[in-house]
Amino acid sequence: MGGSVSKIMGKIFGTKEMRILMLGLDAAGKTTILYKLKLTNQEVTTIPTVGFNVESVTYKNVKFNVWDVGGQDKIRPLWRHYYSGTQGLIFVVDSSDTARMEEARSELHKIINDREMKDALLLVFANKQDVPGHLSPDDVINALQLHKIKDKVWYVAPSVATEGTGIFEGLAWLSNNVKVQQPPPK
Amino acid sequence: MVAGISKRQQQRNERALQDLIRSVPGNDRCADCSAMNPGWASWNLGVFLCMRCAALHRKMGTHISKVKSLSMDSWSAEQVDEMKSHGNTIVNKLYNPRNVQPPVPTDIDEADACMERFIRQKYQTRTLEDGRPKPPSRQDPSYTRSPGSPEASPPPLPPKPTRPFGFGLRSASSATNLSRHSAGSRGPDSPVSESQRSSFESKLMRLRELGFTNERRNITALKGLDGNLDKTIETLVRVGEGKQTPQARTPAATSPGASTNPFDQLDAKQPAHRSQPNGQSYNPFDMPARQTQLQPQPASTQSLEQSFQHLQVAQPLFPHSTGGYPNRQVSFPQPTYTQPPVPSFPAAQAGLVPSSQPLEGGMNPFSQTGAQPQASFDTQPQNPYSNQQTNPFFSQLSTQAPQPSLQNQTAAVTTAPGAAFPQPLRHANTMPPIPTSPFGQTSPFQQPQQPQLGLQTVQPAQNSSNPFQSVTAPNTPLSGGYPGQSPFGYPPSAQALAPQRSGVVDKNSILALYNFSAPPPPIPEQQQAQPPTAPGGVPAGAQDAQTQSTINAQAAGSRNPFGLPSASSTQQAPAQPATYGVPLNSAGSVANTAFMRNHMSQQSVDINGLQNGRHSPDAFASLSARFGR
Repeated sequence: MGGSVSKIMGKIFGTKEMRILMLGLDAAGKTTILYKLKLTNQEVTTIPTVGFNVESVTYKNVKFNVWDVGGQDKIRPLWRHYYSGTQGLIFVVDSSDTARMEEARSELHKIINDREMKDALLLVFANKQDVPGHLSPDDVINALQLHKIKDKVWYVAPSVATEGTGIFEGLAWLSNNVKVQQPPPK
Repeated sequence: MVAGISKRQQQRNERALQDLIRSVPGNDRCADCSAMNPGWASWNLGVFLCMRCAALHRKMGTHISKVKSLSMDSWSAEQVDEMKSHGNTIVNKLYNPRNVQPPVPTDIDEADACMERFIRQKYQTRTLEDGRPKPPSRQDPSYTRSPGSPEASPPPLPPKPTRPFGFGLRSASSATNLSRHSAGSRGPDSPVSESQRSSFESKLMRLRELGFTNERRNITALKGLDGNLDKTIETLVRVGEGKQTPQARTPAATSPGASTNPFDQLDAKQPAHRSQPNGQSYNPFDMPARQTQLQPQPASTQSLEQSFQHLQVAQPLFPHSTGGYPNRQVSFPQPTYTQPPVPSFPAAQAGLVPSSQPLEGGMNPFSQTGAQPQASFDTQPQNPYSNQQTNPFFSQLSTQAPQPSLQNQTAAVTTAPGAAFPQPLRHANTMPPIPTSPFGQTSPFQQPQQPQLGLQTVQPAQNSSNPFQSVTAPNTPLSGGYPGQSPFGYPPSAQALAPQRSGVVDKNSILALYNFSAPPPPIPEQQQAQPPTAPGGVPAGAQDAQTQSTINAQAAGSRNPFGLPSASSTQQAPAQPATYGVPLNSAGSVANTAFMRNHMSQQSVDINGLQNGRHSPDAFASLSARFGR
């Protein structure tokens, strides 16, 4: 009964599903963001992801299926296996890890240059904004050379994953922009 | 940044890292919690870490610790050099010169939080360093105390970092204790003052009354536990100090009972002798009250030397703990069941023969070998038909069943500390795969990790008595049945504790052993599982053929259970009880190398057992009887 009601509601108000892939260098905060999205008010303690985590989060009428894949150097080649069908890419950057910004940039550009990712929205979390010495979102944009991206909608959201700050703003951006791309859900 | 490195260079770096772990002393353990076989490292700090501590390092942020996986990250030459020039020992001297040990969590949920506090103190606030004034509120007086007295006695408890009032963020249980105590002696929020001091004194007095004579240890434990009397008593009992069993916590029960506790013997200079009192904890390490109650009559003699010999053997087992137990803490409950009657091996083997008939506990050859674990099993031949009641493991399993769920939720890392806890816990781990268990579902996923963990932790401790049993024990699904039903299920496994025993794979000797060790069926339904006790290897071998565990199968070493492709629960479930067959075969003068093969063969036995569709504990019991053969 309740299910059918919500189905009807979904038809009326357009409940959408969105497949999100969350990538980034190791220790950027991907898993923390994922579980902070899922368990909003709990403190999250994560261990390094070997493999992937997937959770579905419903926010603003959009059901996000978020895939979080481990970011260690040698398992990055596995990322591409998660590309197909991805409608949104969340790229998480450790804003305080300036030394690896270049590494992050090259990884990001590798991802978005993949054919299977050409339709995906790009949301960048400039994470760890609470750590002293962090880069501002603008710095992150420059460091990642996001301006060079021509054929993609992107957005940089500052965040503090451990406190949950900023992450839902990021999701809101995704849900707002997925409408634009709603016709070609692949 | 690492991208430009050639594959060869990367391989060289990887090898260099592995060499560092192997060759440099101290690097083979986690720098923070001393868990064996670190798989991670912080290259800017230059320490090798276990996964849990690596996670906590990552949590601090990359500005403090840059964590990399040894296997999943590629390393640059500079990073490897960094690891070379530092290493665990040097860095620990730097950050933790007094060798403060991480606090022992009071409950399993707190374990990670405890460790995180410790790691943050060590690297972030650096309060463990010398020469830096520590914030007085966080300072624990026993920190300075503990390095002074490490050798004399096993340290009661590495002290906890205390909150200003000592009760800051404790668990709910201690909070209730707090209210109770404070109601009695002082206001809940009175700062450190005369009144607190006096209440401390009174608690000490009380401890003395209760029979904890070691003044220094009392103080340390009491301080370490923030003056929580109950927990202190618990700890002291656990540490083996008290002449008390846990039941004796009420003052009325304060009787200086005869205890075979080695520590007591040390203190009191008593000769070791029979422990009479019912319910008196025979095993000094067995903390939980229910456990001691469940051991019906620990009736056997045990000499002082033997108990200490076990301690020695037990020590290497400790590295199990990712949970932050320094390995020098010998005095924990867990190892007792796996303690080998190593030196008395022939005796124990011979003992299998006479013990076919129910014997008096005192007469039992196993008890003469003095192994504590067997004390509890010795009672079983006396009443083989009432296993259900006497078997301490069944009720423990049932009471502790919830625990695996906790561990299942967390990752494999956190299951590791579980392995370091009292052995029953380990058995509790084994519960999930039993089909009726609600955790059965999760186990297939858990299992690939667990054996791995076990291997990692145990292997380096070569002299550790029984690597294989401890490897497999955590994920034995059928173990619910194994311990109790056949009293002989264990002794052989205990013999496995001497894996160094070299020899050739001698079919005859194995077969002969099968016969010798065949016990009378404790319960009727086990009969089909029992080979007749006729001499000569043939019947046993024939039965092996029936159960698909032929010796030939043993020889075909290709069916490595760990290598089994995947996780159908029926496949996996059998894989584990097999381990209880291993010891047996190893006892039959099978060399270390033959271990895995035996493993296989027994595995198939269990498939049979499972397929008969009987999954009641009794069904498993019959299985276990077979393993024990």
